[in-house]
Amino acid sequence: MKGRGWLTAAIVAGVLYWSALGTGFSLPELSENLPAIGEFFRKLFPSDGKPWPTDALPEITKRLIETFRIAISASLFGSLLALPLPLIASRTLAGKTLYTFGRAVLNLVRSVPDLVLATLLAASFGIGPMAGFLALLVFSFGVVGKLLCDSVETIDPGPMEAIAAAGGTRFQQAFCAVFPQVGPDFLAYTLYSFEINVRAASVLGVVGAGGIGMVLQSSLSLMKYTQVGLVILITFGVVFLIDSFSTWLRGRLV
Amino acid sequence: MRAWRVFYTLLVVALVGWSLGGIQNSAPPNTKEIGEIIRQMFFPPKLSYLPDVLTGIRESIQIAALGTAIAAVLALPFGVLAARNLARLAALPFVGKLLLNAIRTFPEILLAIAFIKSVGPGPFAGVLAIAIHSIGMIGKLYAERIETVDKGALEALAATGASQLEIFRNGIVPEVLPDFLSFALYRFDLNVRSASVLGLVGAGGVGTLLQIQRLGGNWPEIGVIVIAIVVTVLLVDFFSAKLRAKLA
Amino acid sequence: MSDAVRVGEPLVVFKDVGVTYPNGHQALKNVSLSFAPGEFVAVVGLSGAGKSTLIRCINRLVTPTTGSLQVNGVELVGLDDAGLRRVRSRVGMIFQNYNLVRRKSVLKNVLDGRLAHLPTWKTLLGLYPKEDIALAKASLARVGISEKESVRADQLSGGQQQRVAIARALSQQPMILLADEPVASLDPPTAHQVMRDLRNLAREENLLTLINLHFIDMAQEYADRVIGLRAGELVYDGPAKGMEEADFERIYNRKIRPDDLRGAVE
Repeated sequence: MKGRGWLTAAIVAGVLYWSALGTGFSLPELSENLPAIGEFFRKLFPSDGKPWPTDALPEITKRLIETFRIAISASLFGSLLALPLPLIASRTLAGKTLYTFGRAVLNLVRSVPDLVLATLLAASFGIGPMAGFLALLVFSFGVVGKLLCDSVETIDPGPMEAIAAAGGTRFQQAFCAVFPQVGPDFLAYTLYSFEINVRAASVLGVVGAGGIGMVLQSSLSLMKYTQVGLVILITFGVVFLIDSFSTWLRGRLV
Repeated sequence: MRAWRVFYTLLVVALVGWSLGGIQNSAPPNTKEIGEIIRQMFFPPKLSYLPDVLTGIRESIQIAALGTAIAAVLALPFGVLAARNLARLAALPFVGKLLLNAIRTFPEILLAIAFIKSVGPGPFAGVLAIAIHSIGMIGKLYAERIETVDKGALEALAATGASQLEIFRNGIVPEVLPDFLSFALYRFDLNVRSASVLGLVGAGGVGTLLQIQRLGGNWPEIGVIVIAIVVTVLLVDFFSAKLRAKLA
Repeated sequence: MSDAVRVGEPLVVFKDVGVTYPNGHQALKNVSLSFAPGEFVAVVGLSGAGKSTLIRCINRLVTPTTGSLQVNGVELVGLDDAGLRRVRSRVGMIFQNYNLVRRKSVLKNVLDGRLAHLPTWKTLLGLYPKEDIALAKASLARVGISEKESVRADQLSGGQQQRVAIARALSQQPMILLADEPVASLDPPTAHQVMRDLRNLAREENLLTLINLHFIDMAQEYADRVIGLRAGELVYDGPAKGMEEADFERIYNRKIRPDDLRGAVE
């Protein structure tokens, strides 16, 4: 046991050394760069008693609202689309072959990072919130689908048997015995995907997929750093509030 | 009861209607073109580009590994601070958890942009962004794990006259260490995914290639990049789950 | 299957029925039995003797691997899905753990008994015909818990939940009622109440009723006929009255012990 512990430590150290070489990361390098980092963060705040650039507020508000519209509709539609997934990707409701296939598709969908998808969609659909909406929709579909299927696999199978015994079809078993049992779970997962989507939607703009990130990107390229600071502060504050509220709501659901 | 249900339903419907209204692009999508794009990306995949992509993937994994390791260490004091059963002051865990939540909520892409603007583009900025962002989640998991440590065992140690530090070293660390490693491994899993997109803003890794090819509209190259990212994420997912099952 | 019970014919006929599970376990061996409408039958035996398998064959929740099984003249072995659902729609079943959807209201649970008559799209929208709702309410009234119809099932006691389950079976307008250890999770007074209710319903509706029971004294008290199973084999088939000590010992393969008896209510 002791020997294996040392071996693990040695392997981890080796991987980290290899990584440090590959990324050019080192502690001296870091300490050398610390002042520059501090300097950048100082630039985000107005200095010499100058005010915040409030003239950007209308644009910020507009894009912030767009961010939430993207997050809300993507979470809701993605979750709704995921609702029938247990029929093909849960052991409870799907046969063995269908189950294997369904889970494989679900895993594949979930393995594409949302920003990669947003990038591709923005390149094919054009700049704007549509790309962001579709990317996050796919994300919600994947995450809610997986969690829902896991949930369905832990339900009490008794009511399904009762409905089967009364002559109900497989679909009726799913709809009348399985879904009522996972209802609160489904709502909680939808909220959970919404939390992640709000965060994701706030940065989609950096690849041109709409939302507050668009303002951030343009402020950055124009080097209006106090405007960047303002955008970050407002975004972060609102995202934090929504996240906390949604987490609280989820706690009450389950 | 029924009235509330109707109210909630109407609320949700109104919210969806309003949200969807905001999602308009200037130009409608051209489905013909999208089909052509998909054909160019995957049929057949441009394998001659694969060696370049693998270099990028390697860099992404290195960024994720180093970033996770730094976060796993930096998260330790936060975890201890935020654990309710170790706190001397009742307010400390609350502040600690709030802080961790704040870090967790701050998108890592924004951190990456900030570090790029201060230290210049490249994997160095990526490592920093991942390291800072990951503290939030790892720290929270640490704190929650410490809170489940058996109180009786700690009291027994205290009864032998052990100091606070000795209690921590002998009562807590051995019990939580495997789980801490498991948390770090789980976060590494997520970070490989993150590190593959950080390059879109210039923070190194395979995303850098994606950004370059995207601007050039080179769909065959983009196709290979996407395949490589998906395969990498699936593989890391698989092995990380296997390893974590061993740790448990 | 014609929907009416055929007069003068047996309702259920087992002919050399055997069940072997995929893991190789032989749960029933060459069982031949026949049941007439209105009979009230208790199936007894040790756990693992094949009681559950026997009654689950009748609605083919378990499919016989050999032999033939007819319900009201319809052969169940090899029957297609639609035909099977048609048979099941007239065979009510109640379970040890009630098998209610705990988060649904009592009335919605009872309405599940009508699903075989509801097309898919109506199921999706929850559009039950007026007659079905009336039938469900009447079923609830018959088991004496009408006042609970809009209460969530998980708010009820075990005895009440089992009554809801009986109402669900009744709303199927069954010709056969199957009960798999219906009183095993209930306390003795409630258990006796449920058994009395089942017997009264069976008499009023002329239902063929098959009940798996662990306790032989309850079987003797309520049933007209007792089926004894041991290790998947039929070892007793006769009237409940006049069973001898030796009959029980043949079924249980040992002397009767106090824990084989539920005990009287008073």
